[in-house]
This record gives sequence, C-alpha cells and structure tokens, in this order.
Amino acid sequence: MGSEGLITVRIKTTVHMPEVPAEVEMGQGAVLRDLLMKLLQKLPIANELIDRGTGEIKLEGLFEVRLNAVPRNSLPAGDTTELHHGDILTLSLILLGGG
Amino acid sequence: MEEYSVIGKRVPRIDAREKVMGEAKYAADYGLPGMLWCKVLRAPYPHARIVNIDTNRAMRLPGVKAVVTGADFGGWTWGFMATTRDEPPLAVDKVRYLYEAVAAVAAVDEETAEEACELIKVEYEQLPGIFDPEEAMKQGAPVIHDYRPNNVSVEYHWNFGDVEKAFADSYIVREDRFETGKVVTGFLEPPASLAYYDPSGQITVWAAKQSPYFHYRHLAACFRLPLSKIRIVQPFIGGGFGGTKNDSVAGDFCVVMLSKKTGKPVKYVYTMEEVLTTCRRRHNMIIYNKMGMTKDGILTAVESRVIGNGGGYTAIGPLTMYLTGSGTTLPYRLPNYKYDAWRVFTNNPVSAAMRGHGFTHTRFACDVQMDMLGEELGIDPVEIRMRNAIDNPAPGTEYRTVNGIGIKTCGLKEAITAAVADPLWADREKTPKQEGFVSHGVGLSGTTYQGGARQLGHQSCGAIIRICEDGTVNFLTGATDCGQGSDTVLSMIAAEELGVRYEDIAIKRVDTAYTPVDPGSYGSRVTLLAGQATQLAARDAKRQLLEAGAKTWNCAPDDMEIKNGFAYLKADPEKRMSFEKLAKIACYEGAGAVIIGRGHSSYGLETIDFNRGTGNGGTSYSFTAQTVRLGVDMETGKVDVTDFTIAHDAGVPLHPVSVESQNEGGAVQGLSQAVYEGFIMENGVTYNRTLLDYKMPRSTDVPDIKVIDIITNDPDGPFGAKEASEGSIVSTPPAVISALHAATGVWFKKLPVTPEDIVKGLKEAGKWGVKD
Amino acid sequence: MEQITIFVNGQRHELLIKPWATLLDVLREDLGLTGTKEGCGVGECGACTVIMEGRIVNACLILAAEAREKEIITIEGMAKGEELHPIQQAFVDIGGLQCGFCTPGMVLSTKALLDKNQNPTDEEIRKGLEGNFCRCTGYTKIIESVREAAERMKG
Repeated sequence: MGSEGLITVRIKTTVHMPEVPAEVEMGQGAVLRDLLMKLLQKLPIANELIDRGTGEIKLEGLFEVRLNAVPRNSLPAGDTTELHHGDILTLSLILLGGG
Repeated sequence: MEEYSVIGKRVPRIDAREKVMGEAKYAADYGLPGMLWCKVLRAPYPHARIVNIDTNRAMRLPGVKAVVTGADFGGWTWGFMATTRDEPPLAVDKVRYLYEAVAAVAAVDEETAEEACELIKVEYEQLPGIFDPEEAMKQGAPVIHDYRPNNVSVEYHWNFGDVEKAFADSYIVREDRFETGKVVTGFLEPPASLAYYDPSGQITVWAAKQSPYFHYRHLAACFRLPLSKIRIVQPFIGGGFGGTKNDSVAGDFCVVMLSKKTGKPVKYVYTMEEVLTTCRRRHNMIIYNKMGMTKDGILTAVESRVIGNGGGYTAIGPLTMYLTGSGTTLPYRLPNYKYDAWRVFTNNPVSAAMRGHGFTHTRFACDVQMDMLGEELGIDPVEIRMRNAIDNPAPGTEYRTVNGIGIKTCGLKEAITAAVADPLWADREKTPKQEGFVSHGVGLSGTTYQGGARQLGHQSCGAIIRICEDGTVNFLTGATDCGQGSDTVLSMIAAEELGVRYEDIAIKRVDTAYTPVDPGSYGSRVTLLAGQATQLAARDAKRQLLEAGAKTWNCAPDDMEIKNGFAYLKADPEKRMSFEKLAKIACYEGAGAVIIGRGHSSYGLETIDFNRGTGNGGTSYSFTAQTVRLGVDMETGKVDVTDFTIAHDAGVPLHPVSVESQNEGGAVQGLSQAVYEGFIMENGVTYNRTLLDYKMPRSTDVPDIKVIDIITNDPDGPFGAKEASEGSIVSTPPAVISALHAATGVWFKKLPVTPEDIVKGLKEAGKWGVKD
Repeated sequence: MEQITIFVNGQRHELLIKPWATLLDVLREDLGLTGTKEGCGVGECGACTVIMEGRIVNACLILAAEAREKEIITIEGMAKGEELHPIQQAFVDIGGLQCGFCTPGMVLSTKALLDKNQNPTDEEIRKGLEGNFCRCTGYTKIIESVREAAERMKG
C-alpha cells in the first residue's frame, strides 16, 4: 500500500514515450479509465484518443493496452476495472503503415 | 527437393511481355481527359519559420486552376505511430529540411504550373539549422520539433546478459567507430500520381506506391473519408527498395487536394532532382562497436552505441532503430549484448526504410570487426566465422537468440563452405596479387537478413482466387510487385496449389476497391506472408471444386486430386477430367455456383518490445556468405570490383530466376553503397543532385556475379521459402571491406570508401604508390 | 506553335508542337507512346532511349523540332503485332528485367548494338549499354539476354 491511501501503478511502454512516466499514483478506488485519462491527456494527440463529446477512449489501431498482461478489451469489467497497488499497465504503441 | 509442377521452375516472369513491349503502364503513363498538372513549391532554407504565404499572383496566372498550401490540410499530420505523427502533407508552421514542400499548383500544363510556383510569395524567418546528429543531441542545439526538445526522435537501451563481465573475461576486446553513408533507393521511376476527387466523395488514384494500402489509409484520414471510398489503383512500379514508395510524399497529397478544389483529375511527376534532394533515403549511422572474443576467437559480447541521422521527421524511424539492433545477435552465437541507440532529428531530408533496413549498419560493423579480431588472433576469416556461426537447427528444434529471435533453419555454415569452395576464394593465391599499381584482394562476409516482417499494426494480408467458368483463374492479390518478381512467385504458388498450369493464372493487381488488404512490399514479406495467403485461397477454391467434382463422380472430395490441369481419382489416376471440365461442372451444374477461394495469412505476431529489444519481428531469416574479388590502384585509389560469389540460404528458391536476380541486384546496390554512392551534403544542402553526380553503377561497373542456392527448406515459408530480397545488400559491404583489406592491408570503417579515402589510408599506412 | 512531320515506327505524323517541346514530350503526350520513359529528364539515365536515324539518342535531349522529317523507332516499333522481336524474346526467356522501367531503353540500345556488331564481346555489350541505368537487376541478366539475343539472331 502506498502512502496515505494512494496506490502506485507501474507503467511499461514498448516504444520510447518520454511523456509517459514510469509510475503513477492514483487514489483509492481508482479504475482503469481514470488512469488512462490521466496518461493520455499528456499526449499531444489527446484529442484524437479521447472523444470530446462522449468522453469515450478510442485506442484501437493506435495502442494496445494491457492491465497485468490482460488485454483491455478482454477485462471483464473493462475500463471500470479497479486498480490495485503494484498493478502494471502496459502501453504498446502500434506501428501501422498508414496509421 | 520435392517434385513440383511449377515451383522451382525457371518460368518467364508473368509481366515480362508487357514490359519488353513497352506496354506496361506506370503511374506517369496514365492520363484522363481534362487533366491538370501539379508542380510543388519548395522552401529555399533547411530550417525556417513560415511567416506568410501569398498565392494571389500565382492564382491570377492564365492557365492556373488552383493553389494549395499547408493550411488547406487543416493541421492533419501523419506518421507510423500515434505519437509520432509529426509530418504534414505541406509544411505549415515551419520547414525542417531544404526544399521541403510548401505549396502546390494545378495548371493546364507543367510549364504554367512551374511558372505559377515562382509567383507564390513565401515569407520565411530563417532559423539556425543543425545538420550533424551528434551535434543535434547536444545541449543548446536548435530544436527541430517542440515535442522532442532534445532532438531525440526515439531512443532504445537494451541489455542482455552481462557485457561488463564478459568483456572483463575476454581474451581480446576491440572498440571501433564505423559509419555508413548517405545513400538513397535509386529507383529509376520518380514518384508520380494521377488523382481524381469525385465530388460525390470518392477518391481514385493511380500512384507509384509499393504499399498502396498505406496510402489508402493516409488519404482516408487526411480527407476524412471512409476507407470504402478510397480507391488506389496500383500501376506497374518502376522500382521501390523501400522508403519513398511505402510512404506518401507531398505530391501524393497535393494532387488529391487540387483535384478536390478544381473538380478535375490532377497529375504530378517528380523530377529526379526532387528525388535526390527531398525523397526518403537510408538513415546514415555512426556505430561505436565494442566486441570481445576468447583466445579461440569465440564471441563473448558485443556493445553497440548507434546514432542514426533521422532528418526532419520521424516516419518509420522507430522501426529502423529497432531493426538496427535486433539483428546483432545473428548470425553468430552471442550470449551478451548491449545496445544503446538514438535516432536524432536534423535539418536534412527524412531518413526512412531502405532495402536491408537496419541490419545493414550493424552487420557491416560486426562482420568487419570480427575479421579485425580474427586478424589480431591469427585466425582466418573462414575459420572465425565457422567457429561462431549458428548451426542449422535439427528439424523440429529452434535456436533462440538472447533477444528472443527464433531460428528454425540456418544455412550459414553451408553457405560459407560453398562460397569458399568456389574458385574465387579457393584459388585466390594462384593469381598474382599485384599487377603494376593494381593490388588484388578477395574478401569474405557472412551475414543475415530478416524475412516475413511482422511488426506492424495491420499485419495480415489476403488473397482471392476466382475460378472463371472456363477453368482459367483470376488471382486477386493485395500485394505489390515493385519489380522484385512477387507477382510471378505468387502466381506460381497459386498454380501449384490449385493444380493448374502457370499460364492459366491471370493476376489481378491491387485496386483497393476490389482486392484484399495487404501491407505491401517491405521487410521481405510478400513471398512469405502473401504467399501463404495465396496458398490458403487456392486450397479453399480447390476444396469447393473437388466437392462439386466428387458429387459428379460419387466419391469423397478427399478421393480426388488436381495436378497439371487435370482432376483425377487418387486410387485410379486414369479416371480423370480436365480442370476446365471440373470448373464448368462446378459453375453450371444444377443451380450453378460461383467459386471464390479466400485466404489470409495466419502467421500472427510476437509481442515486440522496442524499448527492451525483445521479441521476433520476422517469420524467418536468410543467411548469406559472399566473396568479393577486386583490384585497387595503389596510386589513384580507384577500385575495380571484378567478381562476386554469393551463397544465399533462401530456404528453397521458388522462382530461381528471381532469386538470382534479387541477389545480383542487391549485391550491386550493396557494392554501390560500399564504394560509389553517397550524398555530398553540407548544412543541409545536397551538392550531387543528378544521376551523373550521385554515382550509381552502370553496366561497365558491375562484377561478374555467381549465385549459389543454399537449400534449407524452412517450415515457416510456402514450399520452404525464406527471403531472397535483402540478404545480398547486407552481405556485400562487409565483403568489399574485407577485400579492400586483403588488397591494401588497411581497414576502412567509413562508407563509402572513396578513392580519396583509399589514398589517405594508404599514405597513413606507408603503402601509397606501391608498385609490382 | 510549330508544325513538324516526323516518322515514328514507320508511320508519318503531322504535329503542332510548342517550340521548346522535346521529342520525349511529343512521343508521350502527343502520340500517346508511353513506352519511352522519363527518368532523369536530363539525358543521364537512358530511360528515354529511342533510335533516331539508326542511332540511339536520349529523347529528352532532342528538341522535337530537331526530329522533323527524321525516322524514329520507339519500343512500340520493335514487335510485329504480337510477335516479339528476337531481342525482346531473349529478355523474356532469360529474365533480363525486373521492374521494367529501363527495359524499353535497354532493348533499343541492344538493337543499335547488334545492328552494328553481330558478335559483341562481353566488354562490347557492357559498353553498348553504358548509357542505360538499371537499379534493379545489377545488369547481370541483361547482359546475358543480349548475349542470347546475339546468338539467336546469328542463326
């Protein structure tokens, strides 16, 4: 358990992304969506990843996301999956010709 | 080798007739009524802010129909990954390399369009430029992209095993600085495209693209249209070699935008000068290489520090730096490996992929350094390679490198053995070493290249086999033949799988409205991945045909076979019918049927971690051993390369003519990189910008080339194939360096090795002007 | 605009051309003969090779006006209908081509060479093709094709 009820999540990336930190502290009860919003907003292309109208996070064809090695789209609770201290989020940038 | 009807035969290329007749149409050969011509305006500075663009005078020139600038594209940018989309179709806020495109004009003819370009007034604020990658990495260097304030486009730091300990325990360690040159693809057909933007919201383009499906996605995103409304028709391509024709260039986007504005078709054709000064080129790299060995010449560790010159934008750079490192653990056993690499932005034209992508740089450094260590240890070039080469794994087993590459077949030892048994190497002591001023030398290299590249997001590719009712076959492929001969090989695969003759296959080339998706020609993937898709599509069509045939003969489909254009009963081959008859039965009997076979490649993907260097980006790897014989004039430094022997393990040569041609062409391109080609640039300006000044080999420059096929029958390639496109461009430069050393006693570590470099090296070694 | 008469592949053409038009422009744009290619546009690559009055020339360097009243052979004039010229057939059979962009020029240079010299040595073949740049093949199978064509045309 982190300090004062904060949980620490480790972030792994597979391609150099200097805007993305190696570790993030989230509040108790934080879910995957909260973490993704926090990370993606740092990126210059945030507007493309987060729909301004609906708030939907659209990463298909751009990023592959895994929480503790489970693909985001396979998580039973999806983006509302609760985070725990020591969780590992892996962000893989997809290299796509024409992408 | 198995007995095949079509595979392995020296059939004529499927497109040979139209090409020798001049009937094959390339992008620039297309025209439409009412067509306008496009010319691009380019910036006169390598680094400058664009303050204002005034197009009024240009617009008023008679014959001008439209002008576009960066603003017309609404801030859209592209790149190979979501976070590296830093390149606009036309420069918007600033230009980052000399002659970067800034505006474009559509007019009734090329002369008017050119004149109009000169009337466009662009106000620039010049910015200090930075041209050397090592300088660009330093504190205080001008920043090229705000999102990378240290000018580092991408960097990786890999560490496998324990290099520190390994070096400490080594008997001998060397550290050398190597440098690869500024070279370009050198295709003869300049980029060109004819575009029509239909006001109903459809784009049709005839474009010189070796990855038309990349361009299709670019246009959909740029013009905010669904993919279903983007139609790229692929003409014949006049040479690709990666980079420019995989990516989209300014002209490609401008003709579509101009067509949208004018309602007319618009065409552009780049000049060769535009190609040489602005198009994609190979990354030139500085490789600080450290290598250790035991007293017996066994590799202990390699540490590579690589700086890649990225030019003004990212493009495919992240993959380049990954490939540059990933091949170092091949083709020799390497237990400890450290790789630190930086791709750096500079105010130069964009560096991108080119044949031999990545591996070229580090295989050159490592192969030469291996020889240097061998020389110090007193172990000859053949022996040192044989002691370290990966053995051919036994069937069903796999060799794994420390970074996770799996090798199921490796014919390197066989290739080296074959190459050195050939008289070029075997009899090298029999001819006089020196004749007058000319000193002869024979060199050797042993290298590898990746095939069946599978690192990208959209990996899979498809094929469709459509059986015409008369038994002839339409083969729809998504893959693009940019000259390498893939159309021929894929058609051979289709014919072999279906059981028909090669002549019965009619290939239908890429038209994104009708053909299945395929990422295109790069990474030596077409024969392997599109080949597999073709096999599966053919088997699907064959199954449907046999089902119909089995009904007629009242047997099970498995009781039947098709070969050489006839369907027959396996148990009684005398009972047979022609393929034509079988097709007619299938299509017309009863309610009839439409026989369409489909397949897509199923090789899947291994997770590649670019940051850590783990994972396997290829389906299989080719291995090449090469010998080179040359003569050096010890007074003028002029090099005359007379002979190559190339022993190449491509698994199984499916089309031997193409495998030979690819090896020959790749080797000549590699030779050129080693001793002829190189951009002479200073402060972002290219001085040699014509084909005469950017010297590439002519018929009088090339050696006699012998190609030896090494057969290893790889389980992961159609009919056992592995790549045969890039092996020899990687094997040639180190073999040439080895030969230069044999001739002069000097090790040259910077490419290209010019006559001036040779004279300088000879003088430093006290050997200049040595005569027989 | 200027009026010129040129003879291309045995056919007479009367054309209205711009004074600065090159023979290459006229062949491709006015006559629709796109077999002759533009590579470098400055006479260095041989992609625009045609035969003019029996000699190979770079069409991009010849003003159309210079070609008036002259006999030009382009790649389209080599085959007789569907029947390939022996040189073309040799290139097909040996595989002396890959992308094909340099091929029309190579075939015509070969014709000019073999018309003058039925028995060229390898050196003479290489010299004869020196003005035609190829990036794909490394020239090896092109030289083999010319050798084969020479053999076939002798017998």
